[in-house]
Amino acid sequence: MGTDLKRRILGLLFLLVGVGVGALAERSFMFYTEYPTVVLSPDRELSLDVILRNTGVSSETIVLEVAGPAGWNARFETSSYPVMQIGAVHLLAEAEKPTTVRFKAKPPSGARTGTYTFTLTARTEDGKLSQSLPVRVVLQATPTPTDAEKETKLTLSVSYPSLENPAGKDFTYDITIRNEAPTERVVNLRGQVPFLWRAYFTPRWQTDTRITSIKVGANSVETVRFVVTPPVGVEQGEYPLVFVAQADGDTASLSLKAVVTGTYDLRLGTESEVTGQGDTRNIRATEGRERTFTLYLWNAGTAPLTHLTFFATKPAGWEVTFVPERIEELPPLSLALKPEKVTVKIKPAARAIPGDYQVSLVASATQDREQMDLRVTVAAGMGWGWVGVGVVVVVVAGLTGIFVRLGRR
Amino acid sequence: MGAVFWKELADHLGSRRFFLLSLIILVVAGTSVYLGIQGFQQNPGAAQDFPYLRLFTTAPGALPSFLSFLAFFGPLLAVLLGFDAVNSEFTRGTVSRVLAQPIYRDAWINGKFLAGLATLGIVVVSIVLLIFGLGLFALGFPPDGPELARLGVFLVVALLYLGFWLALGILYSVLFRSTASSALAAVATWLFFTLFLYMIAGVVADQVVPVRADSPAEAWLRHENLRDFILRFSPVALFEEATLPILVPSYRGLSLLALLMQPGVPTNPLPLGQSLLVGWPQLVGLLALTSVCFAAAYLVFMRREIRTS
Repeated sequence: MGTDLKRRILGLLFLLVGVGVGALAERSFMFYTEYPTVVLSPDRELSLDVILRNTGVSSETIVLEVAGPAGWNARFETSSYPVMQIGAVHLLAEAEKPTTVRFKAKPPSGARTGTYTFTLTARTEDGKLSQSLPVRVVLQATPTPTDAEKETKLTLSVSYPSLENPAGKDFTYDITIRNEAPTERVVNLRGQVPFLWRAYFTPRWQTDTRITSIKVGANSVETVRFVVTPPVGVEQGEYPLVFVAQADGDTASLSLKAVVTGTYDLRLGTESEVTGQGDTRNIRATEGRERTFTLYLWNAGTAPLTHLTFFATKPAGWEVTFVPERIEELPPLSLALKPEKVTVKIKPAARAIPGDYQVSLVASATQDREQMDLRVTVAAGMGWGWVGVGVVVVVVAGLTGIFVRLGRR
Repeated sequence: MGAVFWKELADHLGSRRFFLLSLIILVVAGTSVYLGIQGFQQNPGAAQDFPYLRLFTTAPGALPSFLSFLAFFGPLLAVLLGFDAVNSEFTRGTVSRVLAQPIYRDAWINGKFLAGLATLGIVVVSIVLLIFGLGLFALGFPPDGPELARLGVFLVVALLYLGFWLALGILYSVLFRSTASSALAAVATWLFFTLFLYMIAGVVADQVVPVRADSPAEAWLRHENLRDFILRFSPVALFEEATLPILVPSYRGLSLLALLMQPGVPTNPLPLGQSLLVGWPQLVGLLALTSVCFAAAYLVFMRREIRTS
C-alpha cells in the first residue's frame, strides 16, 4: 500500500515536471537553410531558399533582418508567385509545413572574388526569441566547365520517331524539347522535309496555332507538334524527315521517318459523268438487240490496282460482256492522267418484257471492288410490233366487213 | 342442214346484237391488254414467263381479268343468241313453213345450234386475236409454242362453256312458248349459277359442317369438300377450275389441298398435258353438261307437235 502511494506521488511529480518543460518550450521556431555556403559567379544573382518553421504553440510574427557587405542589395522575397520583397513572416502555431522565403543578393559590379558572409537574423516581434543564420557566399570569377557544358545543351526526344499513314493523311510527331540551360530560351523550329512536302509546327494543345519558335524555360521541357503533309499523289515508300531546333547558336536535330502506305480507291463512271455527255446510268436498249456502253474506271488511290476483272449481275436471259475482259494493272489517276475505258456489251433477252431492268456492273481488283447499277429501259422491238398491228387491223376489218356485208340483207 | 346453218349464221352476224357484241369485245380486249402491259412494266422481271397467258389472267386495278369477264358475261352473250331460237319461229308462224321444206327436222335445230356456236366462236377468236395482236405490239416478241398451245386449248374450253349456255338458251326456247318467259328463265338460271350458287354453297357447308378457327383439319376438309361439291354443279365454277390450270402453268392443285400444300409444292410450270390432267374432271363435266343440255333441247324439239292447232 505504501509503495502504491509513492508511485502515485512520483507520477504526479513527473507530470508537473512535464508541464514545466512544456511551459518552457512554449515559444520556439526554426530558422535555417539547406545550403549555408554557396558558390556564385560574379555576374549572377544569389537566390537561396531559407526555411522557417514554428515549433511553438502560439503563432508568431517573425521579423527578418540581414547584415552583410554593402552594395549587394541583400533582401528577402517570397518564394511563391508573385515575387515580393518582404520584411516579416507570420508563422501559424504548429504549422505542419515550413514556410520558405528566398534570400536574394546580387554581387555589385566589380566585386572581387572571395568569401562574403551574410548574417540573417530572425526574431519574434517582441524580441524574446531570436535566431541568426550565417550564409557564406564564395564568389568565383570563372564558372565551372560543367556549367558551361550545361548552358548550351538542348535535347530533343520523340516517342514515335517512325509513323505509317496512308497517302493523303498528315504525319504528326510530338517532339519534346528539353532546355537544360539555366536560362529561359527561345527555340527556333525548322523541319527538313522531302520536295513538295509541307511541314508546320503547333503547340501541343493548340493545334490551330502555327508557330515557328517556342519559349522554353530554364531547365524545363516543352512539347511541340510537328505536322508533315505529304503532297497529293505521293507514292508509297519511306521518307526521311529531320526536325531541327535552334537556340542561341545551339542546334539539335532529330531524324524522323514517315512511311507512306498506298491507298486503293477504284471508281466507276459513265460517259456522261466523265465527259459531260453521252450515256448516263439510265440507258435504253431494245429486246434481243445488243448495244454498247462505255464504262470508265480510274484509280483515285495512290497505289496501282492489279488484276481487275469484271462481271455483271443481270436479269435472266441477258448477255453482258466486257471488252477487255480484264485489266492487269490500273495505275493511280495522278499518274495515268486519264480514266481507263471498258466497252460493255449489253444484250437484253429476246423475250424481255418492255420495262425497266437493273444491271449491276462490278469491277473487282485484288485491292478494291466497285459496283455500278445501271437502269436499262427496254423497249419493244418493232419487227413483231407491226405484225401485231396487222393482226389487230385484220380482225377489226374482218368484223366490220361481216357486219356491213350481212347487215344489208 | 348447211342451208339452215348459213342462213342462221348470216342472221346472227348481220343483227344489231352482233354489232353491240363486237363493240363490247373491242373495249374489253383493249382495256385488258393495256392494263396488263402497264402492270408488266411496273415489274418486268416478275412477268417473265408466259407473258401472253398473263395478259388473260392478270387483273390489274379495278377491272376483272379477261378470264373472269368471260366466265361472268360470256353466258349472257350465249343465252342472248339462243333464247328465241325456236319459239320466235313459233310465234311468227314460220316453223311449219320452214319444216315443210325438204329437210330433216333435226337438221333445223342442229343448224341453229351450230350457227350460234360459230357466231360465239367468231367472237371469242376475235377477242383472243385482238389481245394477241395488241400484246405483240406492246411486248415486241411472239408467243412461244406452249403459250400458243395453251391458248388454243383455252379457246376450245371457252367455246364448250359458251356452247352450254347456248344449248340452255335453245332448250328454254323449246320449252317455253313465249320468248319473254324463255329469256327470263335463261337470265334467272345465269344469275343462279353465277351468284346464288356461290352463296348457297357457303351457307350449306357452314350449316352441315360448322367450322371455327380452332376446328380440326378434318372438319375443315369436309367443309371445303362439301362447298366444292355444291359449287361444281355450276358450269361457271367448272369453267373457272378447268381454265385455271391451262392459263396458269404453275397451277397444280385445287381448293384446300393446294392451300395447305403451298409451301411444299414447287412452282415451276407444268407441261400442257399435266395441266390438262389437273383440270380434266372439270373439262369432262363441262362437256357432259353441254351435251346433256343440247340433247334435252333436241329431244323435246323432236317430239314437239309443230302444227299450229
